[in-house]
Amino acid sequence: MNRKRTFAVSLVLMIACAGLILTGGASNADAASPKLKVAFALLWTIDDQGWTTAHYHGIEYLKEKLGDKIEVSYTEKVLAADAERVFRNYAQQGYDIIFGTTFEHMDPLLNVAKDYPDIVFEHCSGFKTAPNMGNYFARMYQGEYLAGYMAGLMGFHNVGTVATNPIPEPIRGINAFTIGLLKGLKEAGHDAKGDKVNTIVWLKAWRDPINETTLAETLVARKHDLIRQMADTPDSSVAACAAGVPAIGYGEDAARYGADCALVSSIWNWGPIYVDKVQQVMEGTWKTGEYWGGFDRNNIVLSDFHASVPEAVREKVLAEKKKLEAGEDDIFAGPLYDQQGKLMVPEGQKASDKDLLTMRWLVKGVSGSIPQ
Amino acid sequence: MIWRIEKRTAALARPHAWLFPVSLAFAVAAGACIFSALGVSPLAAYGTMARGAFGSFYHFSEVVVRAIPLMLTGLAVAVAATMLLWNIGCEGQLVWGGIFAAGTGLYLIPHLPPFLAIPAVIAAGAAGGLLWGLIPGLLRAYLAVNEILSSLLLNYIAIIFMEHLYFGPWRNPEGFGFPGTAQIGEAARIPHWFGTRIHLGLVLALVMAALVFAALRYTRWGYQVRAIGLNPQAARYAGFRIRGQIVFIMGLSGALAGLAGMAEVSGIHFRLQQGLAVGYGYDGIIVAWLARLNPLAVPLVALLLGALIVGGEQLQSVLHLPASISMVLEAVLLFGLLLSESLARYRLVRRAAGEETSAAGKGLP
Repeated sequence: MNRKRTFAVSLVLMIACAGLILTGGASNADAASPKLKVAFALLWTIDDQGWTTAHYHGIEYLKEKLGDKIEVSYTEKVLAADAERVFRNYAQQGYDIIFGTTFEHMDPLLNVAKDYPDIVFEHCSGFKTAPNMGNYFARMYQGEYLAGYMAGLMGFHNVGTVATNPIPEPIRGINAFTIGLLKGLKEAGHDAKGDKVNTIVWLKAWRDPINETTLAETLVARKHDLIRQMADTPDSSVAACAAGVPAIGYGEDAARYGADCALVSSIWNWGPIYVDKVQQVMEGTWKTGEYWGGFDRNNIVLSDFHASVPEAVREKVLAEKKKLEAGEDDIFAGPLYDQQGKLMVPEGQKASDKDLLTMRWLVKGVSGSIPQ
Repeated sequence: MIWRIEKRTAALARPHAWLFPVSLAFAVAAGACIFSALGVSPLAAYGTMARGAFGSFYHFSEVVVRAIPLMLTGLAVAVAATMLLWNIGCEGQLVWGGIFAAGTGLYLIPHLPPFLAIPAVIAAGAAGGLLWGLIPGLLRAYLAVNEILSSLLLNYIAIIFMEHLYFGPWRNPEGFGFPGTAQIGEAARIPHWFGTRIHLGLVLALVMAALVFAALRYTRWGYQVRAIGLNPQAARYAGFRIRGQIVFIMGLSGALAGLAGMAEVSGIHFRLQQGLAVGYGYDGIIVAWLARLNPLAVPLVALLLGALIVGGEQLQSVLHLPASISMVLEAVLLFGLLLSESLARYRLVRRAAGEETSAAGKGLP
């Protein structure tokens, strides 16, 4: 009897589901069209409020600009072991341009690019290229420099930074921020020479919300007057706000994701790069190469300022931004000293792009070290 | 009238024959409901998944690639669980297998020819996992430390240590400071076949599955392990050396997980880097339970899970569904198993209300 009843219950459930199946949405198969097919592999989910969300906004921008001429697909959570399959799969489906949007996608993308010479591949944040594979990145350090400059002008001289991975990109950002901070402090009349104005602690991850919160709270408890977020999620900024200390956001506009104390955020703006690259493929003018744009090509933007940022400070920061937009990037102009006071960039010289891309030293004014 | 859930007094005649089909049917039906809720026809969704997993030889080869580490971690969990030991630490053992394999390939034997280098890398990977598995084994055997906690916590240590290596001393000197070791040499990479990413790890996994099955079923050692698993007290009275078995089994389990890490490093990544510890150790627990701890069923279940994951990717790229969909399907499959397990152990009984009160009243003084 009981077994019969169990089967009856299962049967009813099945029928209920079958009803749903039959009434479910019809398949929306597109008719064959000559649209250019564009694919993206994303590191995490599109709602990660940081790195992947920024790329997703780029994809949305691309659709908005070229939506009627292209077909876009993306795959989330593409980690190193799966990347090659995801790329090869898109290649087999006849996609015309395929983007890998995180560092670990580099070698898998290169492997697939070798097998599909007629497809264009673009990789974000790496250093390898091929005849049909270019790479692109944005000069985030310019935005970090402006954020530091703003903080200095406002008199913050004991910043706590929740840094991510101890590799050149964040190191460059920490240095640019500190250079801006010292410049701002100097102009605001603080004599911060030789001071440790920016203390860094490392997450050793791009995103780790629990540790982001813990480290931000620790920095607040150690009486730092401003918390600088560098991680992919706004959690360190949110933690600072909760503790009553202002923050600086990173990657996305932290103020939009719950950190209402964020004074300003420097934001990735991938959209224009995606439109350019896709348009080049459409027109047949795409060439391989290494692309690294900043404010001059609108690949980095600054969020709106917090209401508490004085008008005079805003003007100065925006004037400095204008210079960057005009292509005058003198952030890493000498003389620059490292933490031990060793001259790293002499007066009259500027760190080259190669120096910046391989940077493994911290400027004077930073407290903390690069873990080995 | 009142419904009650009661434990079955007699076991079902042949539970295995229908448990798996029922859980699968439940998963498929629940999945269909989810797809409908997302506005996608379940037929189209399952069709897309099937094409993604089995649509071409290449696609199927990727299912196998994804299943290889799951086979090995699934075996690792199953062999320990046969003796009622919960090895939640496969992730860390996998990581140590990877560390030993990469270290051997990069630093110990960078110039050996393949016929020596490959066995060395395989042995190193197994040794790495074995050593990490021995820690919770010894703690359990001699200090009665719960192996669930110790093995789980050791995962984090293993992962952090691996990160230390590829951010610090082992970082690729030509990698522009990016995290990750240099690539291991061609000689230390396990062979790939059929022009796909299917590698030697498949053979290792299948051979290990057969060996573990045979050893558990037909040897004196296997009899002891099964006896201890069924009734540790009785086994102790019978004079079995339980401590020694605990240490041995945890070492064996660790070595199997270590092989998974070795195969990932030497067959897929060719280096240590972010993205190596992605939860294969934890997925192994699901595989072992879906396989009902039967070593021969482990590879099949791993393939099923691999197909689910690889096919699930297509739901993203073709039907533009969110990434979490394959995890949802995986979870539904597990719920299906739990459901059918409950059906096997419990039954619904209908009682008249009066009968119920009197039954409850009996307990009162």
